[in-house]
Amino acid sequence: MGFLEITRKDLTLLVRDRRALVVLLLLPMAFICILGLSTGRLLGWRNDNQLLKLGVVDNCGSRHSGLIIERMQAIDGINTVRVASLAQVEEQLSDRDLTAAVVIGERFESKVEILSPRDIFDVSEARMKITLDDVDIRVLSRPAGAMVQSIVDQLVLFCTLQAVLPDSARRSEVKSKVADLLLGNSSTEPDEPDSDEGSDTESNPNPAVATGKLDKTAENDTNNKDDSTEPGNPVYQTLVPAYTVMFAFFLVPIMGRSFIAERELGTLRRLRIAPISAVDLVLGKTIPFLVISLAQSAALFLFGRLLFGMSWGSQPWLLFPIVACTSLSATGMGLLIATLVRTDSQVSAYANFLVITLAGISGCFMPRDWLPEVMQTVSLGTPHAWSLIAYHEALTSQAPDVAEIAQACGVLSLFAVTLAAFGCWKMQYSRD
Amino acid sequence: MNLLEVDRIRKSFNGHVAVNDLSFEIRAGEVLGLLGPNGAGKTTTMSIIAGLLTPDDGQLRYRDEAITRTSKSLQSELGVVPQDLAIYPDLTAHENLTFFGRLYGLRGQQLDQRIKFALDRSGLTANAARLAKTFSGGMKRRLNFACGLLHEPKLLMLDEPTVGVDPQSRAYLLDCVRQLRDDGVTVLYASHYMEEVEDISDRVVIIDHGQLVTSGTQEELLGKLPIDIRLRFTGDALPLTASLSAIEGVAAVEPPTQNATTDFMTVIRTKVTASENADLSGLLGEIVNVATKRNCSVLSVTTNDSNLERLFLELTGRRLRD
Repeated sequence: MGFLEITRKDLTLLVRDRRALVVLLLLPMAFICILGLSTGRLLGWRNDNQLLKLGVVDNCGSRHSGLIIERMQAIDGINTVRVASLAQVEEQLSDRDLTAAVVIGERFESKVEILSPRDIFDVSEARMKITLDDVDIRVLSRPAGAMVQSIVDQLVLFCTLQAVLPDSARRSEVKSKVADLLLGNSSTEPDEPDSDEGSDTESNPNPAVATGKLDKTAENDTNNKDDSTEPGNPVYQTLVPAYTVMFAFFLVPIMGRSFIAERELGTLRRLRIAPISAVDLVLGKTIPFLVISLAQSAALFLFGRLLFGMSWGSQPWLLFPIVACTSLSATGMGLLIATLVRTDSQVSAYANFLVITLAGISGCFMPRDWLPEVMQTVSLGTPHAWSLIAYHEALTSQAPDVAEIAQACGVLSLFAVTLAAFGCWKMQYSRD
Repeated sequence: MNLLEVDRIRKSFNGHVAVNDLSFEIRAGEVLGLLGPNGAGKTTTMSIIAGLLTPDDGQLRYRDEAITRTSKSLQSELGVVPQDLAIYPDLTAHENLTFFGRLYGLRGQQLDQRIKFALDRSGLTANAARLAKTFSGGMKRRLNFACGLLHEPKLLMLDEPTVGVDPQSRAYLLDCVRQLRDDGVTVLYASHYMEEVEDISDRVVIIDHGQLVTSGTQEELLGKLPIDIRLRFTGDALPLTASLSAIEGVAAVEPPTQNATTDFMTVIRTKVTASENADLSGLLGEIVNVATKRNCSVLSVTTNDSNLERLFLELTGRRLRD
């Protein structure tokens, strides 16, 4: 059981190595904090300087225009403020106080009142027919802000439809079809009787809650409004696991340095002379880093939960195998690299390069969905990617696909075994 | 009785032969000095014995039993004090000893006793709780030494254990080796310091270019050295040198070197060895007579000491080694 002694010794040394602890524990926390501050999410604090700051001029002042503004204010990541006049909007746009502006015209309500679903959808072409101009809404943006204007156009149109469609649908015989089409409620029968829905609408001052589905949507929107203080903030559901995975693999250079230190101190010779097996030696040198890696991941998820209100998913137990398999593959890679490098400079050059490159390829720096398809495929050659896939499934799905997570964990384990086997072989070979 | 036999071992690295057909034995309870210039193959030989390297050819026998690199019989009874320090600077002396003791299976009271013994033997008891990195060079050497003898090895290999230590620590370590020998521990001691080996070794093995040059007790080896006569004189040097070379019993005469404006010095290599215990007075008389005939005045005649360093240089040459 010589490996236990080596494990205990290395854990003692690791705990005393403040530089390693900083890299493994404090650095990822610092990174997440910095990004949290950048996005205005730390400790539920919400920064006014959001991604988009929209000014809204409501020249109509109707119930529907008020609903549109409410819906826009509920969109996460957009700071929607009311502005009194078009002149003020133009001034704030030129002063860069606003990213874009929405002007709801005086004729808005009159246009909405006569709007039917046929005006909104071109059923024969299966496409949206309506434009903002049709309902007297204009979107203004800074010069050279075409892309922003396009995005805001779509958002405002969506909010407008959400606000006006229920009333419009009620006026139309094709109400249920449109609502299904818009809301994707395929289970609803197309010819479902609607006799009692009118009373729903009447009894509820908010037309958005006229149907059960809309009611749910509105409820979700309300929740999203304050989601920075609620568990499950989508930013951290991606950010925390991404940095947890990336920093798990920062063990690789630290393991490399540990082996080099052992070699340079001459203690590796002493260990090899001692009556312990090569397996004891490999296990003893690997387990401490596995323990540190597990502790690191646990600390980061706890950190994410306490500081950022991230959710551990609907089935938190699923995180255990993912953390374990990620740590195993990281230590496997660490073992292989440790047996390949000979100097501290090699660790700095090769191991750090490898770790950062693999993190970049796999999607640790940005959501994997943002990667081009070809890169997403290429990234499957890295353990990081499989770990991210598993975390994504466990943390963001209401009903995580356990089979998909199991598959990712299996691949991670395979990485771990393969890398460690190469490492052991190299270590055995290097004895001579 | 031989504790360890090294039998015709050979080891090469990328075509370079580091150890070539080397054989010697270590007898139980002795201190065997292993001498050789840089690159002679000492460390390779010790690495093979320690199980770090597998010989290309040849065999090791421990207690008459053939052993391989992974044999446990030698591993558990072997203590090694490597040439370079092999301790953890971020562990205390006590933690270092505890770790290495546990690796050799020591536990509980036995471990405590052995740590106490090792600390005491290495003079580090008062500093047991200090981190090794705060130690002086001599203290680190002593801790390095203590780690090697913690598990009561039957065979202790020391590879230049006194390199870079102060005279006090060196004397202390050598005293420890003597005490260990008195306790029955067999010691293989490799060093460049001839006086150390001379001081503590029962027998000496000299190797060069990976091969055995000679081995035996110090008396046996030094006895093989020819006696050199150091002659200081005044007069005409060249004719005298030629005449001295012709004397029977003289093997060679070094070209004279001028000591002062009139004094010369030469070394006469005789055919007489130290072990022959021969009377040199006849030969010395003849040398003085020849000098007088050549109108040279002999100012002094001395004989060189026979010591390991001289033997070593005789056998391995004076050429610088890389």
